[in-house]
Amino acid sequence: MSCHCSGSGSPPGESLRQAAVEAGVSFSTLTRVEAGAQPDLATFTRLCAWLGVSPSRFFTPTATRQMSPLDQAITHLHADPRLTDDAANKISSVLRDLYDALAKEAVPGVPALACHLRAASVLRPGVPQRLADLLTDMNTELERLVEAGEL
Amino acid sequence: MTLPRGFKANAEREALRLRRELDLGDTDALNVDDLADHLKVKIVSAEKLVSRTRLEELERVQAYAFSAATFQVSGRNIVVTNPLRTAGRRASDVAHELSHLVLKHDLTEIREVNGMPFRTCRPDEEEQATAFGGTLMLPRPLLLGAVRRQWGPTQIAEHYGVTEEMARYRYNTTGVAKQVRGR
Repeated sequence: MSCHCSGSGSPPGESLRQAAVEAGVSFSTLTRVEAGAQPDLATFTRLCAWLGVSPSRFFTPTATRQMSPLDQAITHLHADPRLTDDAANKISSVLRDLYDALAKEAVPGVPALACHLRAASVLRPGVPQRLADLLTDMNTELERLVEAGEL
Repeated sequence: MTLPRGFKANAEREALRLRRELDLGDTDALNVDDLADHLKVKIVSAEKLVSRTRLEELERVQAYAFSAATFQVSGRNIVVTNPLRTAGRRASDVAHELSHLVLKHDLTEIREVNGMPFRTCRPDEEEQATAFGGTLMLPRPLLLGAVRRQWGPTQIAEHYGVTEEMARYRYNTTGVAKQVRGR
């Protein structure tokens, strides 16, 4: 983590002092962090809040790692203290076979529709089918109208 | 989930800047259709694209299942609204959708609806669009003017054509009533 606090027109020490007050950390701590020292968790959290960034931003490898539901389940199994490695592997193997056999293809060949949607976060049974059809038809009709110069 | 530091103050400034571009005074009501024109965004009622019966059927299965959507077609942004909403709710929905565009939110998340993938915004960006939409409709100077006239959320909602829910949210979160009382 590095902070670039030098403001225009004021001495760097003064800007850093002001930044420390705003961030709610001590001047000496901020000076050390600025020089490259690792902050403790409380300082780190305050600096993240002050910078307006999520702490996860500094842990990119874990934050951006994409795990499939299957990988997540298998990770949980291996972390379960009641299961030996051998038992976790056996269950994982069965899960993989079942998943391969039963999981549907993720709509192959269908490009994602560019559509920001303001809708209920939880959809009742019967809604997803109707909503997907409506949005697809709306998009098709919009494309037709734009193509025809009517929009 | 919290808004980024400084977001609210920036939203107030940006809302006033857009209002000035529209030649609106601090206490004038914002017409979201005018703002959409200004931002070169088309607004289309969903019943011009699909039958109203289908929208009504969806509403019967789940109320408020669909409020609005912004489509990107041939590089253009088109906001589609639900004709079954009240005028106030439609204004909130359009303000929310336009906020995504003003805030330059990318459609980076994939949301699947019945196996159909849609690119949409991140949850934190949804929260930002809701906050910014409310600020666009009811910026602080407007709320202060209303409170000085001793209006509560109900009168603000009626006068400015927004939902009472939005008026109450802005009334409470901006602290304008306390500010006026303190003088």
